[in-house]
Amino acid sequence: MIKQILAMILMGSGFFFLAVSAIGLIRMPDVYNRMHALGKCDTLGNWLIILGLILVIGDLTSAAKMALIIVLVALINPVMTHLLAKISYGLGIDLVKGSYRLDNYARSKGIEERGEQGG
Amino acid sequence: MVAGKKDIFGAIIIFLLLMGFWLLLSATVHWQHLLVGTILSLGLTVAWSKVQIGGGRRTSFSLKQLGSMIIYLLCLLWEVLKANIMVALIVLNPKLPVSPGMVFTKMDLKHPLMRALYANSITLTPGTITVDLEDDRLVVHAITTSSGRGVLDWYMYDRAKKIEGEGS
Repeated sequence: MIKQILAMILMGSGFFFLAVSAIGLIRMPDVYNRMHALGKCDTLGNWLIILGLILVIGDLTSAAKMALIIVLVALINPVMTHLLAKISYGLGIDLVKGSYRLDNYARSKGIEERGEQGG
Repeated sequence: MVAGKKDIFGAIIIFLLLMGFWLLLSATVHWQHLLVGTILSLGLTVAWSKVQIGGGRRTSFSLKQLGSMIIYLLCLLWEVLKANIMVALIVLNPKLPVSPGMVFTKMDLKHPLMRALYANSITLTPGTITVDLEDDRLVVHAITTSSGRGVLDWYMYDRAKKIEGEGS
């Protein structure tokens, strides 16, 4: 009984996060922001639903296979998010109006080069 | 590829991983299953011994690195939880409080595995996704100003750096 309730809570929160990612896809202003909702919430949503299923089924071999799916989701989801973001950036899709730009790289390089010249 | 440089330890690990995967899927310890699994795993290990993902270096890690890696993954789990709650709060807020931007920063992890792991960690954690990673230039998209600044000195970077340092 406790197991069922726990599984219900897990799967319920999983559905909640998947719903959040779908709503985020509609509401966010540009492609990069949509990626935030999809890349993160999908991962945790899938994890929670699979954990709930593991509790409900309770069979060891099926549970092991599902744990494998958890690992696969954890590996594939960020990679796909990164690839989509990289391709959008490579195609030159603009950010939404009012986005900032923080270039720490050029600054750190500049300091290094100056340091080399000084030394 | 250096001639005669055999990666025995890496081969053993690949064999054990394949065998574990086989046992996971077959879910019996009948001798026929074990025999077929061993033959297939050995064949794949031999076939893959020419493929070098890690740039020709030998597979090696210390126990200390393994411990640090487990702590790193636990931290990552906690960060994923925080990230999801943050994104949920932003998405469900009627005002949609986003202030997105691109952050360019420097990252000098050398090991390919650690680079991939760190880039994926950034994608999974609060308010940031990795857009590009070339040599030591890391491009990150941040969803709020504070999370963009957070990337510049993130505590997980020190952990990743520590794991890499313990290997040498």
